[in-house]
Amino acid sequence: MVILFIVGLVSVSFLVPEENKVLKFNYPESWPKPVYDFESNPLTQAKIDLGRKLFYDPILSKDNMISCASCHLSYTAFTHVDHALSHGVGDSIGVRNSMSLVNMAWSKHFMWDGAVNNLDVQALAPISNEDEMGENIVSVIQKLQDNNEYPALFSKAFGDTVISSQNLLRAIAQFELTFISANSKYDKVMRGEDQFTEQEARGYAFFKDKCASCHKEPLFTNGEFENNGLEIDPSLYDLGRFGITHRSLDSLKFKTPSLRNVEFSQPYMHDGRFTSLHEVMNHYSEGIHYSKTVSKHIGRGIALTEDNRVDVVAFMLTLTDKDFLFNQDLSFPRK
Amino acid sequence: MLPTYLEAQEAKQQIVISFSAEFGDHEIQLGEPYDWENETVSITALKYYISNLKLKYQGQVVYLDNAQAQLIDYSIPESKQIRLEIPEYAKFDEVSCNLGIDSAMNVSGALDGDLDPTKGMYWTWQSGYVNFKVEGFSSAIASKDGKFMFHLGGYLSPNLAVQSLNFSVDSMSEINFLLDLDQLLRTIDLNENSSVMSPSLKAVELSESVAQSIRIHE
Repeated sequence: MVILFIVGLVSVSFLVPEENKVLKFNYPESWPKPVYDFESNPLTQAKIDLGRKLFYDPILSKDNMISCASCHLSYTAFTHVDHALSHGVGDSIGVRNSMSLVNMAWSKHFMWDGAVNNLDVQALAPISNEDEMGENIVSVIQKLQDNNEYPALFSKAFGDTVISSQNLLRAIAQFELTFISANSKYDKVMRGEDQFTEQEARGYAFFKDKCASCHKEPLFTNGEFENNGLEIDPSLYDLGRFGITHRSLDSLKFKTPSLRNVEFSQPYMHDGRFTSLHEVMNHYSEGIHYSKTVSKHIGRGIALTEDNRVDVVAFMLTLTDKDFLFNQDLSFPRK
Repeated sequence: MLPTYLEAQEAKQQIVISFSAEFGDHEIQLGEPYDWENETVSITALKYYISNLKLKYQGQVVYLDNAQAQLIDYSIPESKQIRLEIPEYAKFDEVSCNLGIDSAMNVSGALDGDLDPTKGMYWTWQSGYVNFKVEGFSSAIASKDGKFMFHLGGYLSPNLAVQSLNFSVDSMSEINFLLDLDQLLRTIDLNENSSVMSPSLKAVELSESVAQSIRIHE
């Protein structure tokens, strides 16, 4: 599946090396327009490749042990499977479950509480967090500048061997922008190339009725913050969006995660408290901890029969996109 | 090519806007202890952003600074000045600017120049610029080492901290913005409150106090 293809003006294209030609960001016609500002950071193959190398390089962390990919593995929907809370430098453990990275160009807010407002500056947060990479941006730039490969790669991508935070952050953002998942069975059914089983179809009907207000198609998130009725974990006392806005109406709200590739992104929820989708179904049906800020779409719970639960899970498995999960352009860059 | 007579430079006047900070009647020196109100106070860091600088005449903008923002850093003497060139005969009776960075600039991604996050004025765990930073020591602070730290910023309502500064001035070639630290510290009970490090209503309140402590030095 070719997501990116070359445009470039014919008149000047022969003067520009292939890897520096501006790439068009291509996505399914029926999807909404991306929110990312591609004009401020036009995609090129050299920048994407540099971002990919950086994403997989533990040089970004204080002890040179933790890379972005340590917690965001491509084969598991760019999250840290089996880990409820993310691990960082010196075996430290963070306070939240790492998010699955998918369809980033459509995201207005980043992190579970929306602490970060633009993909370009997202990487600053894990680089600086003591429980993640424990570094600081000034030191990272120095390490990259002293490295025997990076100055040439930054020069190739940005025309400058002097490494700046802006170029570093924009390169990482470019690689993440290519995390497009749009070829699951669900997508094929929507395009008329495949058919749901009866069970998947029943699950989809239930999902559209009861789940899609927050997990809105086709991205399977409304991009907003919601309280989905999780009882607060007293050991973490995480109030979510409230920690950023300090508004009581945001208490216990977290960003609605996309459900794409949900089969591979366990454990679930901001603190990774559920390990199976069946536990998630049980939560929405019987486990809602009601409080003032609980989403009105959930209220005191969404009643699911045993059959509903199995059907909805069957539907959710149709959101698995193997072309995305095993896309060699997104995995560890081999030379 | 333009004919040479059109290339001739329009005559310009230079305006220098400088930024100073005083304790009592002294221009502060970083790290220097000052006796103040039965305390000893020293300032170890003082940095803030000035953005959207304009000169106006009778309410009309006559000059708009193109630079996105300037970081005034008291440890870097040359950062404490902004030089403008305006047409020789242009008059102005008002200078205005923002103390800090507005909301639009705060959501504009990875920026460069004085807005580069390596300048130490960008929060990493949550997006947004520190508009105003002052750090130092006071003997009035009972706890720990007597250190105070105020990192004031916030771009989301109701914690929007950027302040607008407007002053009437005569058309003069040197304008000095004076931050009166006496007045500012009088509004803060350091023993009660020695640290504000994230966007909050307290940060907004302190940002207003900072703005009120700035005047044009006659």
